[in-house]
Amino acid sequence: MLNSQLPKARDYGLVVQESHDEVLVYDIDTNKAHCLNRSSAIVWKACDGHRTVSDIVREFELTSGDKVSEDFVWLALDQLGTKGLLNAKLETKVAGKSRREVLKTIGFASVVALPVIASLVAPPNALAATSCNCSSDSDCASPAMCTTTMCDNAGTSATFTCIA
Amino acid sequence: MRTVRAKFSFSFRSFGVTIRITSNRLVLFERAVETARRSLIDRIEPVEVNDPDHIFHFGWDDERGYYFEQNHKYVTGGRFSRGIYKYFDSILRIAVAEYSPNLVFLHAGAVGWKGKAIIIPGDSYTGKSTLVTELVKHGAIYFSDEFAIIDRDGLLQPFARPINLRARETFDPVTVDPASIGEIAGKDRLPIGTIFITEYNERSAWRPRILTPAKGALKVLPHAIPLRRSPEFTLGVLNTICRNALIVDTKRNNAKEIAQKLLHFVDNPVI
Repeated sequence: MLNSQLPKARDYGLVVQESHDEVLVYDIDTNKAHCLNRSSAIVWKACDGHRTVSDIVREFELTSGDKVSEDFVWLALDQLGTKGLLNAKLETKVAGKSRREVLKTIGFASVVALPVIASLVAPPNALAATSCNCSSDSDCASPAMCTTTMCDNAGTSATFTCIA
Repeated sequence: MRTVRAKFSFSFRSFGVTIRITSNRLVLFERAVETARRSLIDRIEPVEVNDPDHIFHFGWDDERGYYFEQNHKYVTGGRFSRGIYKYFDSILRIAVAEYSPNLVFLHAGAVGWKGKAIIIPGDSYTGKSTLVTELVKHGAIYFSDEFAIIDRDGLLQPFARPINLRARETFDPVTVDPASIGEIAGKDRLPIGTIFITEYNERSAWRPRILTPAKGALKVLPHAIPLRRSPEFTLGVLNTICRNALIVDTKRNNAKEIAQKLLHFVDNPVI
């Protein structure tokens, strides 16, 4: 049953920039950015909604010239699904398994770099970049907390901002 | 909050962003305009505009004392006006940085070195200004200690405000005229040769590693001010600069030592 699923890369709410073999993806809905390494990028691009996992394995081998197993592709799909980069989350073969367990099945000696997705959340707003350590008005009088000894949260949130 | 009709008004454009300053008192108005000029290093062009991107109002009344509004919303106020202008000085630059239509403002120090730019992305108070100061003392050309301003072709333009340092013990602000320590950039734009991703750590040593363009872009991205407002344009510009630059990542300690090592590494990028 698992192998009959047809994974599809998410095609809305994303800004995608390709850079050599890697892909940088910015999710407008969650304000998260993801960096897909070559292996995860190849799998992601192969997710056209018509290919099964076996088809994606073949596509991977055609594109990269390297041999990979289905478990390798499942590992990539599991990460892509978790990061919200597929149209629908899949029931994957590796779900619930530790990374070590998955690596055992793929094989540590694989010559192909394992699929990896590095992610981060963009700061909540532009002012976040100037935030200080203060959590109350009284903190602002202390140089240890507030480098300018003057800050403001504009009365709108618990986040304070140094007035530089 | 009640908004008092403004007697005094000045509209201008800066880095493509239209802004109006208004006030009901001449003395507050003049100080606001002066603050704006200083904040944006006089890169403001008076314009006639019906619907500016931002409106900043400075007022005073018996109820609130001094108060400050942005786009008709109360921001802050009090019995003393100094804090309001300091806040305006910061928020004005952030507003310009976020709304500039054709430029990406990165929170970063920036210098020129042998015809290319070195940018050092980082949050406020992470030592950017100290490192930029040391780089300028070592012969680099000063571009900015606050923003790397990058156009769609990936070229850096100067934003050469006075350098803002902090006294080591007291954290008191110390302003340094960059001309007193080295050369300041003119109008020339530079391609970005090196992106230096670094974090201060007292015990760490210089151990540079080169990042791939996408990994570098991921590290730079949180410092891009217009990211949430115009993600497509921002990512496009970051992709352009990261594809063409050497992206160096290392922890750092002493700024003097690191400045020397960084310039040497830019000249001879061997690990």
